Amino acid sequence: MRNVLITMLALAVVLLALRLGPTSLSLTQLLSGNLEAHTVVWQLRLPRVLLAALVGGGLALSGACIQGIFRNPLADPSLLGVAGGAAFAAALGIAFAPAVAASPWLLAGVAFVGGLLATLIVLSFGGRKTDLYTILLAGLAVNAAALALVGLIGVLSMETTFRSISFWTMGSLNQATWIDVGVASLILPCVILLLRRASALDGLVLPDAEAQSLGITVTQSRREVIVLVAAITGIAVSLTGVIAFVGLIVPHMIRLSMGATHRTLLPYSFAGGAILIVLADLLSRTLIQPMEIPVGIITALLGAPIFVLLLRAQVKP
Amino acid sequence: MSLRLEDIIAKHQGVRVLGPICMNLEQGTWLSIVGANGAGKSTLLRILAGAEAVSDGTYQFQGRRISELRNAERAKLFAYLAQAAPTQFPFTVREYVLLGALPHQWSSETRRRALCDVTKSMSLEGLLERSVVQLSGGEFQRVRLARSLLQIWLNREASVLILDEPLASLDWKHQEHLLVLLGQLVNQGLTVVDATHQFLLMPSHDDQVLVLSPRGEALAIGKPSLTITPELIQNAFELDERSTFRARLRF
Repeated sequence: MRNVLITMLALAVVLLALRLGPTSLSLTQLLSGNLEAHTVVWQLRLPRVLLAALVGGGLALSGACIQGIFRNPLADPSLLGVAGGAAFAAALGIAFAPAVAASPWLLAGVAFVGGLLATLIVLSFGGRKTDLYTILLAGLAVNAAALALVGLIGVLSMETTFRSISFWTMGSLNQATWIDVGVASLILPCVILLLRRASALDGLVLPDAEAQSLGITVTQSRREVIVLVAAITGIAVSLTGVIAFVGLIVPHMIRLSMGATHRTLLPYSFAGGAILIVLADLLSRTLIQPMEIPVGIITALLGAPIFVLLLRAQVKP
Repeated sequence: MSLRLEDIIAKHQGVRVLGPICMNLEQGTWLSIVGANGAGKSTLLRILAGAEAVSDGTYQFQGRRISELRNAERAKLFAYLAQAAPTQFPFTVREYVLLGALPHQWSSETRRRALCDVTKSMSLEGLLERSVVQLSGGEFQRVRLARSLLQIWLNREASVLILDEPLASLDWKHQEHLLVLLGQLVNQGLTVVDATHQFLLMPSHDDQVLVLSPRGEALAIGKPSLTITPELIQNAFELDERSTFRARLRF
C-alpha cells in the first residue's frame, strides 16, 4: 500500500517536472513524439529530472546512514566535511585555474578530490577507533573553515567568477546533461552497498559494546558506511553543488511516518529524497520565470520551517 | 570449566584499571561483581563479553581463548547489556527487542515464539507497538533486558548473559521479578554475570560475588554469605567510621 502510494507520487512528480517549464507541454504533447516536445523533454528536462532524483535520493539515504552511525537524528552528510571540501576545491579551480574553470568535467573531478581530502582530514581526527564526537566536531570545523574560504575567494574575485563560485554553495541542477546523469548513476552501486548494511546499521544504534556483542564489527562497519556516504556526497556535490537540508529532513520525516528500522528507513529515504529534489528543482525553474532560483535555496527555504515544525511536534509529548 | 580468567589485567591508555583477576566459573552459575564507582566493573563485563581485549593474562571460554571465537559464533553464546543508554530513534518495542535476533538465522515462526516468550517474561506484551522513545526509564530498561534475553533465549543452557546494572531504574516489583527470572534461567544452565550495587538482594545461596577494590584488584570471590564481611565492604567502598550506611546495615 505504502509502496503504491510512493510510486504514484513519484510518477506524478516526474510527469509534472517533464511537462512544466518555459514551454509547458500537455500530456498529449508529451506522449505524442512531436519534434519540439521530444527535444525539450529528452535534451533538457529528462536528464535534469534523473540527476535530481539520483542526487536527492543519494543525499537523503546518506543522511539516514550518517544519523544511524552517529546515533544522532540531527547529523547530516555535510558533517563529514565532503560538501565544504568540494566547494572549496571548486572555488580554487574557478578563481585560479582557467583551464579547470573552462571544463565542467575537470571542475567536477577537482571538487570530488577536494571533498575526499576534507573527509580524510575529518576522519584522521577520529583516530584509530573512529571516535564519533571528535569526528562530528572536526567535521563542523572543517566545513565551516572550507565554506569561509569559499566566501573569501568569492569576495576577492571578479563578478563573473563570484557568480560561478556561488553556484557551489547554493546548489543547482542547471544545464544537466546525459553525461551528468551517467556520472551520477555511480551513486547507485553505493546505495545498494548501503542498503545491504541495513541490519548492521540497526545494531549500531545500540551502545558500541552491545553492537559488538551482536556480532557486528563496529569500527569496520562504521568506516565502510562513512566511505560510502562520502562517495555519494562527493559525487552529488561535484555535479550539483551543496544542496542543503535534504540529508537532514527526509530521513527524519520517514522515521516519523514509516518507522525507524533501516530496512524501511533507507529505501524510503532514497525515494523521499528523490521526489523532494525533483519537486524543488521544478519550483526552482518555474517560480520566477525566466530566472532560476538555485535549488539549494529552495530546499533550505522549504526545509528550515518544516524542520522546525517537526522538532516542535517531537518536543510535544 | 566454562569461564576461566588467568591473571587478566586491563589498561586504558597505559594505566591499569583492572586486575590482576583469577577466576573460574562453571556453566549455570550467577556471579555478581561488586565494587565502588570506577573500580572497573564495567571494564570486566566488557572483557567477559568479548567486546574489549585484555591487556595481559588469558580469558578462556570452554577451553578456547575468547579472541579465537568468530564474531558470529560469539554473538550466539554471549549477550551483553551496557549501562542504561537512551536512544533517540523511534524503533517500536517489537523492533528493538528483535535486534537480539540479529546474530541468528531463525525461521519466522521460531522468531515469533522466542519474541513472545521474552516479552512475556519482561511484562512487555502491551507495549509491543509503542515507540521506545516514549517509554519511561524503567519500561525502556525492560525492553533492553528483553533484547539481551532474546539473543541467548533458545540456547540458554549453554550461554552467558552479561548485564551491567540490570536493576537500574526498575521499580521494586520489576527488580524482584527480574531477580527471580534470572534465578530460574541460571537453574536451567544459563551463566549470568552482572555488576550491581544491590548485592544484598541476591536470592540464591549458590551464587558467587566478586568484590573489587577501588583500584580494580580482586578483594574476594565466593559465596556471598561467606565472602561479604563488614571489613570487606568497608574496604571495597571506603566507607568511613561514621557512615550511616554502616550503621543501617548493622556492620
